[in-house]
Amino acid sequence: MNSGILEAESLSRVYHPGTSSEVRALNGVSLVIPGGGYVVLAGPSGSGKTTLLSLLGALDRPTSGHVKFSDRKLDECSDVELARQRRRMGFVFQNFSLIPRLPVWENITYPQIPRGLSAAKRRQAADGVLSRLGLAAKADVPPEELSGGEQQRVAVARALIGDPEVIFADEPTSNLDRRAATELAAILQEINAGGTTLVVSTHDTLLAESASLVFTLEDGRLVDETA
Amino acid sequence: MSPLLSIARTGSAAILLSPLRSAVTVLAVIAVLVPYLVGIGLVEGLRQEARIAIGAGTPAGEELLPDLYVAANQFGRRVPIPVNLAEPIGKFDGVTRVVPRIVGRITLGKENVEAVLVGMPREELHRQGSTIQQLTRLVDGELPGSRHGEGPQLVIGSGLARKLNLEVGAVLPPIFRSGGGEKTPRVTGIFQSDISLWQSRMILTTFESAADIFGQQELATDLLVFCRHGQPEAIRLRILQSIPGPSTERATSLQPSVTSRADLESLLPAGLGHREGVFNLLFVVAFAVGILVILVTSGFGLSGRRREIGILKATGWQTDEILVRSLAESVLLGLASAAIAILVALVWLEWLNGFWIAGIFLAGVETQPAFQVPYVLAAQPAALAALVACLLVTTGSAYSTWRAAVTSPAEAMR
Repeated sequence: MNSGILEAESLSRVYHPGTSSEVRALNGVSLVIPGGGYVVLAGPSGSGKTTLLSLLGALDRPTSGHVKFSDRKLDECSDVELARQRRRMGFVFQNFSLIPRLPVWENITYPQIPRGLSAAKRRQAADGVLSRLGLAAKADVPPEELSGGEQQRVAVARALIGDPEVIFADEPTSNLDRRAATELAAILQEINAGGTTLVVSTHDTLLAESASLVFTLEDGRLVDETA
Repeated sequence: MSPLLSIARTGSAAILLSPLRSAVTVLAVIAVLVPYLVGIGLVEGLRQEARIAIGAGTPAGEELLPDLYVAANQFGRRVPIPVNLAEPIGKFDGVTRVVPRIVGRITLGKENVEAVLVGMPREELHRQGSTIQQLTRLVDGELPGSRHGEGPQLVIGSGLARKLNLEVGAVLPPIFRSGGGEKTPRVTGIFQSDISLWQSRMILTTFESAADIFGQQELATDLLVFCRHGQPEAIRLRILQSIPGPSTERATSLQPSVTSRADLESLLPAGLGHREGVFNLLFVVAFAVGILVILVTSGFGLSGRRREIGILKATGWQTDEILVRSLAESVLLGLASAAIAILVALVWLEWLNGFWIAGIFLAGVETQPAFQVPYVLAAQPAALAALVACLLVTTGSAYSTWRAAVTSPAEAMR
């Protein structure tokens, strides 16, 4: 197996183990995500795409197996170390996951607060990213006043703000109309073109078309790998 | 800016991010704190008024205030003291005068309004600058005993006068019978009763009229002994040793009880301290209930809060940073709640004159008190309230925050 920025080795995730509601969401998945790649995790609903994305992005811990991020085994990290690793990543969620009532610029720079950055510096950084994504005029607006497409672009801006090595996007176009989805696909391509590794779980062919590598999952197993 | 300060500042902003939860938490804390602050404020107010009433801090030998209060006990119970004991006590070296006093409870009118009848010798009521004159500022009429040869004369408080629809010259229904037949008391004066709690239900009359009203001649509730400077302790011992003497036949089984002004002063904190203790006990119970209330209120928007914590963790926040943010939020909410509670207590006691709530803490006080409710909102209980509010909110929200913070972000955001 070639070395990449992210590696999964025999990754399994079982929810509620030992109970009647036990769910084996992921079953022995091994894969390598090359640095700078545009990787799509494809498959039907319930195939384990979101679970795999959560494990790769250190949002969850596997029941068994390992995830390596830049040669560091995430399952061996303490909570503090995991938090530090997450700062090297960016996340875009299906439901946007923005903090209600908080102005857009504060939403996207919230991850930088524990770093002690002043409000002025955070605002400056936010304005830069928002301009890049065509949202400069919306900096002071709370997210609930934005359209779905705009909210997703804000989520992308938040993922970009820390200059991450890898960005994870979970079904980023599923709540968007066609036009907004096309715009987002173009933005993601542009981000990847800048050298940031992109891992996207989707069944949107629009996103899959641009991918350099597609992993297909079914019933928690990796069934196909297409370059 | 230091990272810790930056995180703490997000705690203050978080209050506005969850307005419903914040509002419910503040209301719950206020509901716990206001009765406590009002109760403690009233106790302190009573303490202050009582100290003024007994002349605490005034040096012995001050002619206008009694130095010793002599009462009688029989089988361990307080009983009336024979008035004729005033004579031997008055002859003790260092005693300037002895004043018999009657204090008793009566009911008036169809509504059976309870009042406290105070009877003192005519000359004592008219003594210039006496405590009784200071306490009863006449707003109409005159003090009892100015005109002789009439029936019992009463001076009543303005609150009672309003309640019973009485004015100067009004005749009260007979409230007692004596050997000489029915006597009809007449109102000769009205004093301002809305000054303090003690005057609100007081009726002032002469000693003879009070003795007639209660049908207990030659007896007093207590004897007020005025002494020369530096003499009270010696006189007290002498009274205890030689009273009752062989000349007082009825008094042979009575035991004198002598209370000095200093004793009253020292008893004051004990008596009020008991009530304060009850408040504190109630407050501990309220505190425990408050934590449960806050636990419930922290459930308001709990799923949203859990998701928010999940987002923070997903974007690189550490568990300890989330806990600091929550602590800052709780402390600020607690301080804001305490400040509002103090303000509400102040407004309730000062502007609303303890409407309804004074009746809960002070026995016999009506919904709308007819006197200026005594209160002192001191810094100590206010600071304690702020501390308790912070503890309450922090304790109430700590568990749910910690649970969400140690959960994996994927789980918390689900």
